[in-house]
Amino acid sequence: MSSRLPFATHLRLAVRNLLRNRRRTAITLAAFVCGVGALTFIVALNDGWMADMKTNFVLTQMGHIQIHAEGFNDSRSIDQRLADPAPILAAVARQPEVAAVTARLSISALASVAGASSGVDLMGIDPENEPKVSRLREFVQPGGEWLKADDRRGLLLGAEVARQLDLAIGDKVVLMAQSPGGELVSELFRLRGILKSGAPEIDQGKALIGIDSARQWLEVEQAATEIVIRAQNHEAVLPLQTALLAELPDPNLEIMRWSQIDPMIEQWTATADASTFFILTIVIAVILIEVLNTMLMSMHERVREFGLMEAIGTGKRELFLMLLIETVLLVATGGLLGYLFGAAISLALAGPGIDISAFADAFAFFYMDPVCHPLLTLKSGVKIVGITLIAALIAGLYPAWKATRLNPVAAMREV
Amino acid sequence: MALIETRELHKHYQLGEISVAALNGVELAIESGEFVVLAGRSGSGKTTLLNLVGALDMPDRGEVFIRGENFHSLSKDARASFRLRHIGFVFQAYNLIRVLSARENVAYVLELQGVAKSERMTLADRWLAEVGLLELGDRRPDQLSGGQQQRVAVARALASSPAIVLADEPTANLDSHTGMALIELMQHLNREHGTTFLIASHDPNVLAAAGRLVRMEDGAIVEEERRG
Repeated sequence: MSSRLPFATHLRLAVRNLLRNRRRTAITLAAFVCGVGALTFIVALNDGWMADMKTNFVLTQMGHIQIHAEGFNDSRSIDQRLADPAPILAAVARQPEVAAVTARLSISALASVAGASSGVDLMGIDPENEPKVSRLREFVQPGGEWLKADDRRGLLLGAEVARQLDLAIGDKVVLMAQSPGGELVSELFRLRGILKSGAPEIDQGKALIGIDSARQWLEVEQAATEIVIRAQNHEAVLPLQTALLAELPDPNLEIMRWSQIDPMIEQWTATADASTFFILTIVIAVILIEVLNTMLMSMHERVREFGLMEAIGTGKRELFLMLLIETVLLVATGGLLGYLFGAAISLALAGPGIDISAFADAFAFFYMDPVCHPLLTLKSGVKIVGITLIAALIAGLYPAWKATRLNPVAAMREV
Repeated sequence: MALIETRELHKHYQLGEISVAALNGVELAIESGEFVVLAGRSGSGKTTLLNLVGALDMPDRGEVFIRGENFHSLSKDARASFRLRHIGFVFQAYNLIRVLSARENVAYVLELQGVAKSERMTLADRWLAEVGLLELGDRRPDQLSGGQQQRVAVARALASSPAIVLADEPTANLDSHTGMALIELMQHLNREHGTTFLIASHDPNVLAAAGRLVRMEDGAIVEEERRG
């Protein structure tokens, strides 16, 4: 819609008209600053939570990307294994987005002591490379120790498993598993440490031994079931997966992102995003009703002036744009100030974080840290400011349209 | 051809269930350069006639021609452009845009006409000087007296070089001294620039200043008097 008045004139009129009733404009702006500020903080808190959750989930043990033999992710069977992982490890290590890589040999097993036994998810790990990919080493409780490369009998167990079997550091544990040949094989290990992470899949069922011990015991030579990769950051995951698919075009390999292996966190994030969007819509709607009220009051106060303006030659387009630009200017100013206010609070709390340790046990299940760090992202900023402006345009349409419907003669008679 | 010509103008208003005839077949022709005053009591149809001549309202029947051009078939927006090109207005009160200075108020119509900034400011200053308010050009309407505001409105009405200036009770809210000064100003502009004025008023001073006095009663012209 073009206007015979230049944009600068519209803007000047909008600013001056908003300053006509400074108190009303200030109250509307204050509502915006508080509303959008609170919204920005809530979104930053949610984004921080979700980012922490993703990082914790990936770094606890999953890694950003895993490479398996075709079918392993569904079967979790050692029969689907990578017989010679060395060339794959070398190809992965060449990718610039890779921060670290390690091999694992996973199998279901039974941990037994005199008079008791418990099923475990046994993982043969590389004691030197594993801590570069996951946080498993950080979960070793005081009194215990991480596995050593030359320790053929070393074993780490989840805290709940150790409790059920009534084990203490140094105790002997027999592990029993089915070898690839179908034979039941068992081996004696000694408990070096207990893992406590808060995540049930580790505390309630994880058993770690050295990968060389696992290979020798299960007689699988240099095989591995998983190549686990840590990318430089979350953003690098998709390009890295694409690069690896091109670098390793073997149809017998499955190269999967963390969210493909276990979509729970991604779904949780999507749910949280949806609820945030819902809150955002409600808050913006409430604020915009306030704006609509302000603009309608302002319009009704100026009916005579609009009549005069029409009488002296102002067209519908000019009147429409005049009101619309006024609304957008009010909302944009309030929205921007509100965003800056919310961003300032978020940034101030990003460093020290917000302590939610009172709920830490409940949140640990979802890989949440006891201290939450609000996170400002470009995406959320664009979303908040964008929705605010779109809503402003919508809210501005009605008073602007009403102004164009005025009859100049009737309008100038208004008192 | 007359500058303004009305033919058989009829207009009625609906007040609840009662239909009130405001104009009953008014025929009026105004030549360029005339200083015409419409006189009559309240409700005689003066303002209605001004609104129809000014393309602010539409007749029920009849036609209005300005420079031979009829605006009846135009859209609301096109009528606004028509007014911008052909008609200047001075109303009884609330004549100015509150958030613009006197100079900006005069320049506003020129901006709508697409006149370049430097030229419109020069023109605005020229017309403010013409009405004796050049030094008050930066003041907003609420910093001007009623008389000064009316003079700014006259300057604005003339700035767009209209075919005619329509003034509806321009002195009604002014004291007699200020009202007299405004009439003299309009007479001066009529004489010096040949601007055509059509003024609706029942102020005796305005009536005395008329070059042509048109008396209205019950929506009809009942008497016309041409002077010097």
